[in-house]
Amino acid sequence: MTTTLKQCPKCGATVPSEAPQGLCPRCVLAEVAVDQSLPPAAQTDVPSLDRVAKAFPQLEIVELIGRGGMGFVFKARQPHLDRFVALKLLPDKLAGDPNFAERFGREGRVLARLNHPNIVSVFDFGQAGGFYFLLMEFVDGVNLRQAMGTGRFSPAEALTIVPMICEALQYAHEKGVLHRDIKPENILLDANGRVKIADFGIAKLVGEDKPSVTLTGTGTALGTPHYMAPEQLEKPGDIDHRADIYSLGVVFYEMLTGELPIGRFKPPSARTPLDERIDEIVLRALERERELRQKNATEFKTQVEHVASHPTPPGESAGARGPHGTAVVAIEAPKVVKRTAQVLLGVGIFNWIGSIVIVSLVVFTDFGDRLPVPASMENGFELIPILALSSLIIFGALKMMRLESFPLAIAASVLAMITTPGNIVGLPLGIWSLSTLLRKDIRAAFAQRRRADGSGAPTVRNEVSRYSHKAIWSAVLIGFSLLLPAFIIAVRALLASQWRAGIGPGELSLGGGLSIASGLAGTILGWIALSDIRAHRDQLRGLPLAAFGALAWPVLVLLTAGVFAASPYIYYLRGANSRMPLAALFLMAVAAALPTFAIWMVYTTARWASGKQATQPHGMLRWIFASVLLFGIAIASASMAKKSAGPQAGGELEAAPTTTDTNAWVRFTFTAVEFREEGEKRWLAFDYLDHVQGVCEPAFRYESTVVGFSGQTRKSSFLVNVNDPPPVRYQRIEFRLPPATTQIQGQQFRNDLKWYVGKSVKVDVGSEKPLFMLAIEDGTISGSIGAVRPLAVQ
Amino acid sequence: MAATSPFLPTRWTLVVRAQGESEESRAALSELCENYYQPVLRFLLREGRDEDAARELTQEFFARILGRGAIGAADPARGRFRTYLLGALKHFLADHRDSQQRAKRGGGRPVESLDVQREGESPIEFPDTAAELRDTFFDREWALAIMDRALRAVHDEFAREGKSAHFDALKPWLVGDTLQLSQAQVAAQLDWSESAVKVGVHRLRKRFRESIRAEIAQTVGEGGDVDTELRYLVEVLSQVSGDGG
Repeated sequence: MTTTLKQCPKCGATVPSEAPQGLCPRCVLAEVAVDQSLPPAAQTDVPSLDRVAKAFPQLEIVELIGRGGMGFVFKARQPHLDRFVALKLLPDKLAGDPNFAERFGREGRVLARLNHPNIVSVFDFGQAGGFYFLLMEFVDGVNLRQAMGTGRFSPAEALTIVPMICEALQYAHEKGVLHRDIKPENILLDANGRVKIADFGIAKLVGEDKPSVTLTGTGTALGTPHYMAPEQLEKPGDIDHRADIYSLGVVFYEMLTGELPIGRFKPPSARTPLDERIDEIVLRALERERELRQKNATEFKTQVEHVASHPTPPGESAGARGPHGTAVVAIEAPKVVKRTAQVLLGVGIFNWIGSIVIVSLVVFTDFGDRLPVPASMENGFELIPILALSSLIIFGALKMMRLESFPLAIAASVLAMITTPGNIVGLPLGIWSLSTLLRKDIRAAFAQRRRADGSGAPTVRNEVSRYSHKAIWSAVLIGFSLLLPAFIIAVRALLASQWRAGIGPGELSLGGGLSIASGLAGTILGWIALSDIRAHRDQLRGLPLAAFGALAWPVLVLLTAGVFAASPYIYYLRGANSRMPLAALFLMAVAAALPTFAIWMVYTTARWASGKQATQPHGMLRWIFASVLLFGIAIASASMAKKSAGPQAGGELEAAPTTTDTNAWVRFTFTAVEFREEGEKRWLAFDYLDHVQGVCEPAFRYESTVVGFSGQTRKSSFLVNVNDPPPVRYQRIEFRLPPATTQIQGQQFRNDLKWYVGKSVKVDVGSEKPLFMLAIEDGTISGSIGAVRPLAVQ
Repeated sequence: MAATSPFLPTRWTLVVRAQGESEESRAALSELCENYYQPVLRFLLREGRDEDAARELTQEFFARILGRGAIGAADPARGRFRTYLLGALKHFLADHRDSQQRAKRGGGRPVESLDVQREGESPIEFPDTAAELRDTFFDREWALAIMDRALRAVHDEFAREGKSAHFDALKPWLVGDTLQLSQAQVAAQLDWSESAVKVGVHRLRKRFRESIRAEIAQTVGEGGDVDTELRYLVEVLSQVSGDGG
């Protein structure tokens, strides 16, 4: 006899022809072996049917149908009414608590008043036979846990169940009753598909709403905290209806995916094909901060029903990106695009670092003189455009990696080819990148990505939204506080020029006080508005205005501080000779960091207020780039400032005519000679003024050298005399005396050289004049002074 | 958790206790034999007999057991009905073969077999792998019989409630959860909601579980562990593939 043999849908093996009912025997028996409906527990705990029957003579006790931390549930029958009921007996341990009776009475009355088709009704409650009991509606069905055990819920099914749960929750919440223990075991489904929620408020009554994971005599842990909202775990006394919403979110997630949302969990649509708008709903309910969750069960229900009634056809994404960024269809960029983008990124970074290093070297050190840099790099001025272009390359490369912004990717590739100093490498790479980008399949990938981002289906949000009043007032106050000083200054100037009468100190202080007061008030109001808008994103608008109000003054203060911090050194730079001291560099960095910090503050506040997640690590990189960019700008402007400072009277930045031959000279005037001793070391020091005269470059450099005993040269360190206008400068030269020189000798030398005090010597550029010659034990020390021609004169 | 009431002894317990001496225990044994006719028959078929001969032999076997009343040398306290039955069957077969051989070889005269043990010699023992396979085969048939009985019982329950259609539609899920089965399809077929299907599946599984555990419990003795027996049967089913009709 031939029969077509079937395959078992579970294990795939062939089902033998003699298998009973055509079912795979192994799987069937295995299923029974595995299935344990109730965990093994000590039998001693369960009240015997006898005892229960005696306590409730008016009921026919049928069987035990459930047990848990909240007591035992029996199926019973009311013969008088010919209906089945559920008899819940609370744990014996409560019977001993004197306060419990009163609480039980109170809570029981409240629970009995809950009358809703989706809530298991409480018919009666009280004490009998040593038990605290609740007599409830019997639901002939399964709980959600058991239903999930038979297979994952289809999204459609889940979407029909959840609104019913919401209705029940809303009803109870309006009556002031929280469930506190929403979990699949407490949600019942009957054969008609109706949802009934059991054990409302019982958790609190029994003390189960707190996450005490203690062990009972049966060896089972009480309560699973996975469904509890964070605030329920941390501050159990301070929870509201939104804790139930959180629990509902967990249950919803589990219904859809079969797993609990713990740790870094993926959104439901990543685990199961479903409408991505559901992700938003679920993730919002699971927000740690309850202000960010749906504000009530009805809102939850509306959102779910909206998605259920406006389905997007499968395969197309809704496109809208919610605050969790979950509704984005991430298209994987082909590997080749990624590689190209990384290379471009490298070029951009190389340009950045390279250009800053080179310019710093050139501007601040002698070493830079010897580098074969293109002329355009001499001047720090060029730094700014290079940095900007390199940033563009970097930005374009980053976008390219995510298949965004096709034009920007093209631009980045082109820029990589031309921006120095990386253009040597950038040229071939840029060409390669362009050829990749212009490929048909790559272009299609970009277009696809654009389409996924571009189409904007409406996010699930309430239609009603108003403008935040606090934001408006805050902006007004800030505006007033900023304009008032400007107004006062303008008026003062006007009055001063016209009638020679200024504004008195009284008015000034009044104005200043008003300004500060309104500024303070406006700032505080702005912050309040910001947190309001954050909490009620759906209903309040006006984030930009509130941000302006909250941040205007703080940013202003920071920027002013930055300018003040930097200013002495900018001034200092104008008189600079050569290398900038480290302290000045540091201060410049600080001054650059302050505005960056100010901008970061604004940006982060805006993100916080719109409820986005905190900046990720790679986001910080942007800020580091920004501050380094600013730093670069600062250096560039500093070098610019340096060039403009010259020996012209009045400090005019007149560019001198450039010649290869200057007819400049330097007059050195000696003002003091000194013999110094420092431990073992002995020095002779000359103080002098040098005065550059004639036609020459503003940044003309000259050196004074004193040839010491063993050919040492010593550069001078200089002091700025703020009383003399440049270009006359004080200088000091020191040279070291050989160790054999005695103190007496040193002093003798000094006396000899005192002759120089008050004398001056003119030295032409490019020439050297001897100063002195001293005889010492092993030879002579000679000193000369010269004005060295600059290495490269433009 | 045993599904049987602790108050009523299982049939096998009855048999064991009374050693077949009481009316009750004889009835119990008779019922057990009736229920487990199939495994014995199929075992005998596999031994290479044609159907009619096998059937006859099966009858003979059961007659012998029931006629005896007592259950012979096997130690019933430790075993289960299954192991007892297999043991008895093997004994029976051995006896039968001997008598057959004797009949063939010219009735009555003892034949000197070369295998007969001589004095002082220990017999050459070869490990009998074939025997193991036979045992496993029997156990497998046993498992199938158990399953069949349990399924029938549940099916009859459903039929009494007028819900045979439900049983047939939902029974595929007795193998467990799998994506290959579509709850949605069945829901449409029965005109139910998906939740209702879930509820139905859950209930069916529960009832089947109770039924099969009851069935197994009847065949293990006092202090017998239904779970162990069940697990063993699952194991047996995993090893042996169907031998076909």
